[in-house]
Amino acid sequence: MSSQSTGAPSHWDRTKSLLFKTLAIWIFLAFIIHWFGDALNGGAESFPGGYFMAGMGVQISFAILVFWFVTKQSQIDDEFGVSED
Amino acid sequence: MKLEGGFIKNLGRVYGVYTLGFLGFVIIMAILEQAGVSAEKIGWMFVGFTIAIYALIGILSRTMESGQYYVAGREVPAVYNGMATAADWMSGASFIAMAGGIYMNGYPYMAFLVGWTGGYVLVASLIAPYLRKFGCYTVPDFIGTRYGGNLARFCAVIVLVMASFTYVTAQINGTGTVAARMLDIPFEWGVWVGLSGILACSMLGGMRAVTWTQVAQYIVLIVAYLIPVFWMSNKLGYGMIPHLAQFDAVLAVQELEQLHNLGAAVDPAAQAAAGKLKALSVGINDASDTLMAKWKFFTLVLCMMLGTASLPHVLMRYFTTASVKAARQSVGWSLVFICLLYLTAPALATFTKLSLLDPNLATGIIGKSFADAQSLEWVQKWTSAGFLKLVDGNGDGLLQLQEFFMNGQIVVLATPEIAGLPYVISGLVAAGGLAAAMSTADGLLLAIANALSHDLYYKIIDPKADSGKRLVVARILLLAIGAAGAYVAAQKLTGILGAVAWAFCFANSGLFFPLVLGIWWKRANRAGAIAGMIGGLAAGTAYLYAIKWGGMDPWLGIDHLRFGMIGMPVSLILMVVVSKATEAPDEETMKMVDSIRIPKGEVVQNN
Repeated sequence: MSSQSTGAPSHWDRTKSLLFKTLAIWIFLAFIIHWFGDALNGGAESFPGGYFMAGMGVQISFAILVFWFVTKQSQIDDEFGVSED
Repeated sequence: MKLEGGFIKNLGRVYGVYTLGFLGFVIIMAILEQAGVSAEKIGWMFVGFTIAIYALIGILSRTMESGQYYVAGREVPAVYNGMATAADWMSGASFIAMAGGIYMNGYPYMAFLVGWTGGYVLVASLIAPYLRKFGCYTVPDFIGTRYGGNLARFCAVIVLVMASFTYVTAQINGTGTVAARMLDIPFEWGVWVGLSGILACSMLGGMRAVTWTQVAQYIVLIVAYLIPVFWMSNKLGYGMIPHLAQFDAVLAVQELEQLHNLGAAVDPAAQAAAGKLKALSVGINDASDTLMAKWKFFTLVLCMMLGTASLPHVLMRYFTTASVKAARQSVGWSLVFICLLYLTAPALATFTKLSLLDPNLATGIIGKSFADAQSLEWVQKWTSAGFLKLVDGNGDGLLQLQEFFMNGQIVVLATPEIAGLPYVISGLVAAGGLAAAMSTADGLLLAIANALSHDLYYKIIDPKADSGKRLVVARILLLAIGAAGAYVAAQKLTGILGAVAWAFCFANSGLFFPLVLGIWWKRANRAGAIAGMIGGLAAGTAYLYAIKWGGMDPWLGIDHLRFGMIGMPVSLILMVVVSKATEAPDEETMKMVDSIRIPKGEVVQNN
């Protein structure tokens, strides 16, 4: 815990905060959105939104989320000079 | 085969030629079909040709070096590792059973699609890069070194074996089913034919051979899955891209469901005649607004996600990349390649349903003459295979939706015939299903055999064994476990899907928190991890036993697919409480955790 006493966030603090952001988006995509699947589907004639999210929307979002996370984490590693090579 | 600059530098060329060669083979088969070669012979050629190619790759990749055998020399590029992971991941269940599950169960079943993709967010952010930096050969290797002591290592081996063995019997069952159907031999023999193909890929070259065969298998399975769906979407006139076209089709199906009185009672006598087969009774898109339905969706997603992040045969794929950064990127690529198939599954289910239900189509047999439907070639073939049963319950001479009983698995396997595509497509689909089941079985068998040879034999029983002896032991174990798996599979204890969901729940009950907290919580110690592994696994297994065989009613809709909902909290609470109640880990362990948290520097474990 000594790293926190210096004031500026450490590499691990930044990594943790990125993790929490990632997990927050993940919780939204994985759980919250499907709780409203029925409402998203709408009426008989409208676009089946709940079906779309469960069958395609969130999967594509997960993939984008992972690549976003990887880019951000690499930036943090570079900034603190702890990346490989 | 000698390539300038080595194999790794020429991967694009090698697999490009391979893909073209495979497409060429499919075209030759199509020409042979036109020339009048029998469907049976084409089936033989598909199975024989693809297994021969995998075996050839397996033999060319043979190795006697332990770094190559256990982690493919840690030189697999991120994109190719993504492809290999996708093949490792997508099992016979994903390929054969998923679209059928969506067909039969509609919206609630898509919780599997959400769970089996979202889990990769956890793999990328919580676990995989840190295990790669740690530099272990196996998942129990991490547990054993992070927490110290043979007991912790041994517990991790137990969880791994329980989860992976449950899973692998389902895969060998899948290869047996396809081999039996294509080669027209009894299922019990098909299982052993499938197993010999699986072992040919992994025996000689371990992880190295499995990696390069899995890439080859991914190419076969994705081609086999996509072609029929694109074909159908275009044939039915819904558009070029089935993924975009499916939403119009969903609305069309919803109208047809009303036309055919979906949900009307099934005649009990007809149901009795159909046995275990089911008539369609759930709408394609019934996202129910009841709290219970939402809760069931939520719990299934959660169990599958946390299971994904703790299944050793998946995690160990990320040990093979060249760097921590590559391991992270590779998770993203895995998800891209997995989505290519997963996003197609609902479209496949929808178009198959449309083909059967739409009275304006020649293939739409529901609501038309019972005798005509009964005389169709594919109906007779799948009826005699026990996957389909038509019963004219009310005797009106018409085939109602409630009189069409089927096993969901035929949605993928029989779709080419239902939609009237040429037989060569059926052969292609069977080869794809075989590739999916074989690639997963390979990864699983290797995970089990490596854990037993590296963690149990080398680290616990005989630490002085030299690398040659360890590799011989690893191969003997691989053979023994494969044979045990085939023996169990031949008994047909569980269906493909049930066994797969159980594997996820065993893994998340026993391993998720010990893995994650080992990285993210320094205070986690040996006693806590052991309590978490044993307690979680025991609680989950006891609950499964009680509801499946003990006659207990499931609590809050937590059925046998979701028993991780019991195991996981027990594991977390025990791990935190016991860790807090006992001494903090020593200084050395703290330093080790610090060093895996940054990509730079040497790996912790040097085998």
